[in-house]
Amino acid sequence: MSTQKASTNGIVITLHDIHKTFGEHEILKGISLEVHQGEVLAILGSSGSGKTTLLRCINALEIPASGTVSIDGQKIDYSQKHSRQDVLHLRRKTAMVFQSYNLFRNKTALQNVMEGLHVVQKKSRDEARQEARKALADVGLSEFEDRYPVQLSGGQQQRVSIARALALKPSVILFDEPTSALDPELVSDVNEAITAVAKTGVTMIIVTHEIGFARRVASQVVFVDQGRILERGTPEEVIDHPKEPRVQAFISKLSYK
Amino acid sequence: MDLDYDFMISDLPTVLAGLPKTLILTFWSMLFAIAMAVVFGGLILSRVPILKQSVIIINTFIKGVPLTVQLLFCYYAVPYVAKGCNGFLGYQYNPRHIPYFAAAVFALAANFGAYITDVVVSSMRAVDRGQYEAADAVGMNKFQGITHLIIPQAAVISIPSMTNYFIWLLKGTALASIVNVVEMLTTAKISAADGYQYLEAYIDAAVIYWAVCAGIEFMMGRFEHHIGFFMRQPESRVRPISS
Ligand SMILES: Nc1ncnc2c1ncn2[C@@H]1O[C@H](COP(=O)(O)OP(=O)(O)OP(=O)(O)O)[C@@H](O)[C@H]1O
Ligand SMILES: [Mg+2]
Repeated sequence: MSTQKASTNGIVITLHDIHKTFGEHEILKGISLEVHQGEVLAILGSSGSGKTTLLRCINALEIPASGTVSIDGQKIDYSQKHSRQDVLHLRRKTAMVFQSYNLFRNKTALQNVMEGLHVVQKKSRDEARQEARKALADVGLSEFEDRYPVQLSGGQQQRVSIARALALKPSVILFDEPTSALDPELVSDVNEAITAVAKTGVTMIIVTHEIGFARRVASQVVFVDQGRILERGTPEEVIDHPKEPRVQAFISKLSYK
Repeated sequence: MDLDYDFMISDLPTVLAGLPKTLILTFWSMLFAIAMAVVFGGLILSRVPILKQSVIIINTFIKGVPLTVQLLFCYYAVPYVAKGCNGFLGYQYNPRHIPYFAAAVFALAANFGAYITDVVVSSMRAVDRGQYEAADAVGMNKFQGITHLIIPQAAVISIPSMTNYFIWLLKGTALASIVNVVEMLTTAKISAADGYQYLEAYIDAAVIYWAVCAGIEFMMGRFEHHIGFFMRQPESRVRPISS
């Protein structure tokens, strides 16, 4: 058994020494971090540094080669045998917002949000519908509940996907560059929705290239470089006064664009 | 060449009377073909060892043998199989009523099932990977994701190919005339025998085949348009280049 209850002390997520390889390449070379309840962690780093892979290791969309992930009492040590059930239980502590939205195409906006509540959390249809409507209202999309994804703009789709994540009431919501596929004029709507969710005290981990947004919304920032965390701290520390030259170069390149 | 137009017109209802048999044969063959394709496709997709390879070998074999040969094989095999089944599930073997219809359905279903297996597999694979990941990310298990999200989308993706095979199968049932099944083509042939007006009767049959196939294609097109709109690619919003 690798799943066990652990006392949390306000720490919701613990990653310990996560390694991940694709074929010959070691993409994550030992990542450890902790996220406290209600905290917003921003993950920065240049393209190909392993940010997406790290995020996907947290909800086991990618299975790490070794290391432990523990979320709100569910723990998997990947160096030991773990079952599909362990993975499912861990994953159900999380929700994810993808870069390309990935709304269920055969479901309306409302059904997209209801689906996990009804099918996974076994809530009755009525209860699921009620909670889904509330989540859609939170992202300002009540009047679009009967639209299918193809009938929504990118920004609206991404807000539905945020509602879908929110409604699950997970211990943490993972965002992978939630606005990078959007037309520029739609970015602020989505960022506002994320900021609103953050204010409700939901724990979040956000991979982003938007330094300004990270600066505003994050309480902790880590900079990933070649599969390692190169620098970590508060937004003031990492974004305003980075110590590492590579981080300095990265920040200045993005800020003056 | 003189066509007997009067006979052609008067014979049309007679030939048309054979259409239900053709449609019934098509329907049953398609039903079993799809059932076979779903089972075989499932085995291929779930990569069940040995079974997957067996399915692929069986399908390659079926595809490599002409349909006519398969029909003839079933035609000559069915008396033995029927005799062997005597007493099974209450079936009474009767040498005067060899189940040729069932034999034709078997041959057609096996033949088209092999091809439709590919449709099932490719349609399931055509569903965006992101849909599988989204299903995982909301915590669904494989079964929940496949039944609630992947199959409904794959079904819509498969409609055009399924329609093509259905039409191909409908026309393929004409071959069943060589194995004693009285479907529309045989009906036409019989009606022409008295006056040796085969050309006229076959033209009638051709017109009906064409009308039915065109009708099915049209209806399935509308059906897909109606039910499958959620799978359409959103119109690409090309932003005007401001000068
Ligand atoms: N499924 C995979 N198979 C093989 N290599 C992969 C796979 N996924 C990612 N990689 C490799 O892992 C490295 C890190 O990828 P990752 O997507 O995590 O980077 P990233 O930091 O998210 O980059 P970006 O900012 O461009 O999104 C890349 O070199 C990539 O090619
Ligand atoms: Mg990425």
